Amino acid sequence: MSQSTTNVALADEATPFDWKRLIFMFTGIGLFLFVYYCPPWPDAIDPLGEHFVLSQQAKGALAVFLLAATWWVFEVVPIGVTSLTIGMLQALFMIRDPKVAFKDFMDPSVLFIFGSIVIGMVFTKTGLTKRIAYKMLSIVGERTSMIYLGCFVMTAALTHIMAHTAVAATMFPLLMAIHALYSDEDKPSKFGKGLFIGMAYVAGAGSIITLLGAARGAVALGFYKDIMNVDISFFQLTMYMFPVGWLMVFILWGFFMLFFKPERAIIPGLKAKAQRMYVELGAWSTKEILTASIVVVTILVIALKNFVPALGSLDKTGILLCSTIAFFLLNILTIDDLEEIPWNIILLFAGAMSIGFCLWETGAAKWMAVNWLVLFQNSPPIVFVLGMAFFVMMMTNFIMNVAAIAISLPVALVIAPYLGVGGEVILFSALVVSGMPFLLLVGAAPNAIAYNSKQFTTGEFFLWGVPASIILMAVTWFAVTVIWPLMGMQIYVPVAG
Amino acid sequence: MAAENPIVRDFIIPIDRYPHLRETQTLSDAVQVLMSHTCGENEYLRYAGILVLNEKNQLVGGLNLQDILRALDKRFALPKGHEGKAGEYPNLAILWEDSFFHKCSEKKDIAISDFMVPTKKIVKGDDPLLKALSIMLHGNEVVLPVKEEGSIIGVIRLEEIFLALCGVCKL
Repeated sequence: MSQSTTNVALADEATPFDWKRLIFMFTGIGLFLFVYYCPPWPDAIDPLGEHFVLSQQAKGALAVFLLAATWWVFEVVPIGVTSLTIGMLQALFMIRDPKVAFKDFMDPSVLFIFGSIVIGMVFTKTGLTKRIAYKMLSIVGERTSMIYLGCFVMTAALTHIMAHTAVAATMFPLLMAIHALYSDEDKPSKFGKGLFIGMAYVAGAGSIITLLGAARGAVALGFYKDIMNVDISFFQLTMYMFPVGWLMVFILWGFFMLFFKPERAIIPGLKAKAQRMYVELGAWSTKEILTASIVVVTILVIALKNFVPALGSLDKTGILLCSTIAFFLLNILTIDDLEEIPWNIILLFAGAMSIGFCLWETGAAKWMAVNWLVLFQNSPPIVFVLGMAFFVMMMTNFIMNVAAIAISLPVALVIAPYLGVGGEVILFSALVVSGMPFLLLVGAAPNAIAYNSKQFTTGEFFLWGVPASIILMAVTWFAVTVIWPLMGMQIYVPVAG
Repeated sequence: MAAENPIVRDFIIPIDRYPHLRETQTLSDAVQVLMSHTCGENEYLRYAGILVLNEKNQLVGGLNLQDILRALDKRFALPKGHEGKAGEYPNLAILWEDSFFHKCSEKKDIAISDFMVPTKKIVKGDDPLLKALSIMLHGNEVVLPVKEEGSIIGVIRLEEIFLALCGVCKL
């Protein structure tokens, strides 16, 4: 019913003042100023007696690192703006030459990430993901255990070719629709919990397998090349990560079948409806065929670099950007799509590269690493590897996993030779755990997307994340001690010095 | 001459004639108020929007048919804030149509404040009509509240602007 109205005013815009944001903003700034203007800190001394001086620039790098970590954790400003702050502080406080500091923002790894985001975009735009999803549903049938498996396998498989966040966003409406068919109730079901938490978990597990699944891989390889002078190829990364990622996917399926056993064994009618949905999509469009061809060729060329000498000299970022350009040349994407690129995310990766390189080039990473060494001095190397993995796993739950990699990897790679640990094992074990933040929603975008289903609480997510994280650590241990050595990875090296 | 150009005030629907509700009222009230304004022998809806007021009689937001229908089921909304492009999945309705029709009546008691859209754009009574049209075309709006001396005096709709311009431009 309408109200009788004689005099309607305009409501005052009352936005409550965000004290928390202000507190963390100044905490970050305070940490930066305190560390930057502190008197010189003592040298770090390694087990061989070598001194590592913390120069003013290196102390500046630590100061920037503390500000960035604070702002990233508490999202004081959009994460991309924190990245801009990283570049700005380096330039204005003479921590690194501005040309160098800002060049990292367009590092090949960042452009590689840009290219992979575009692939996700084009899959969504052309409807390829829909086609794959409906096909999968019509194949897996009506048994809930198989629907679990089908959804998990499809989520993980899609993360091989597009960013796991885009995959989660694609899967979300599909899973919501499946759940609607499963239960008419608005209240959560065991099947719903398993479906959505599982989707978030396997999106992470799948995303570690190729460089297209998440930005952290490209960022980590960028650091590795800079610090260790070794170029790890797309194929090498996939080779080592494939067994671990898929092992995790199937273990997680077992985990959800055990703890979230669906209340009902089948969803009647799902298969027929999925087939109808697939038929309604019609025949493959030219754009779909072109997109699939371009992506397959691109991935093939990048992977074949390892085996075909003629392709060896081609840069993987250059190859990937060929696909981006091809999408626009063929009018599959337009200027409007280009405007939809999430710059907040791109800038986050750019800033992560910049702070990582900054810590390394100023010597701050070495100084921190040598001070950390004391903790591991008498530990077996495996304790260091798993300790490092555990640290990254915990941190990736609090901050974007690419930031966790940027913060920890440069330091860990410096410590490794002192303990006789190979660089590769540090790199890959860090990449395994950083892809799977199972405890907190803020750890990864798929977690937050899954939470929109309202099938589980943050408390439940954390609770089930504990055993899942223990499983992840066990799988990491298994990879370090069994899988990777069998594949020829050098786990232990002669101790430095 | 500028003085002869149409201004917003001459084409408004006064506030007392345009549907409006308190923010504490329900989705069902919103539907009832729209259905109470019909025209023609087929009883077509006369209005496709509602203004929302708070207990102090202040304008806080608005609703259109899409907002009301979207409130019936969360599956109409896709998660936002992910990296990449949001997809469209109309075929998925095949999977959830049964549960939608089974449950949509349960939503009739949810408060308008849960799904109204806060008022962002307003025009003044003496603003040129073309300014209102520009705001609508750029912002994909079809209704704008009209303010005069601190009070909301009514709304200007795209339909009235359309008819006015057809007359002025002799289309």
